[in-house]
Amino acid sequence: MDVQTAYDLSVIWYQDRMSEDWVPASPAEAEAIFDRFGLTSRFWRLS
Amino acid sequence: MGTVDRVVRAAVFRLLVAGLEGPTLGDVAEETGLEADEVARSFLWLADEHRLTLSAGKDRVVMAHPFSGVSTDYRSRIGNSAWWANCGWDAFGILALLGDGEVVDKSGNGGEPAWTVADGVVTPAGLVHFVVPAAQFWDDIAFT
Repeated sequence: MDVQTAYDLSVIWYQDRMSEDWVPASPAEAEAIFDRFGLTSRFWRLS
Repeated sequence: MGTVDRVVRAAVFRLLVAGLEGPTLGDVAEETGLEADEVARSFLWLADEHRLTLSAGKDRVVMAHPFSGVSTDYRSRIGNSAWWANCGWDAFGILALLGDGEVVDKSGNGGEPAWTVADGVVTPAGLVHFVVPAAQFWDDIAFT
């Protein structure tokens, strides 16, 4: 993965991580985030 | 996640952001005003739920993604402040949380900044390698 994509993905992935209300993304939610960055291969599937 | 767990998890992040490496049970108790046994129970629950990773003694935070509580090959720097990251991606994650700065990859270039993030733009170009498939990230999170 190129570093710009890694950064852009991390912005979405970690954006609310320090909030008291943070809960982990469900597998479907996580896959939807991966999909936004073209990470659609079996490697990035959670289910 | 109960109220205590929310408070403890948030305190862990505050302490890490403030520069404390590997907040301990005692650090979090002091930060939150909670009793040590409450924090200990919360540490175990948060670890079981993959919200953080603990030391073998279960009394110190080793990982609270994207932060690492121990030294690694990856470090994020903003000005004179710096934080350990669990991996290359997490080093960018710290900057995504805290602001523009530099990523240092000690494994690759001897401690010099490998990448700079300015206004969300990363330079120079490069690659981050993911070795473990997403579904197996937590099978061995230290390796991941």
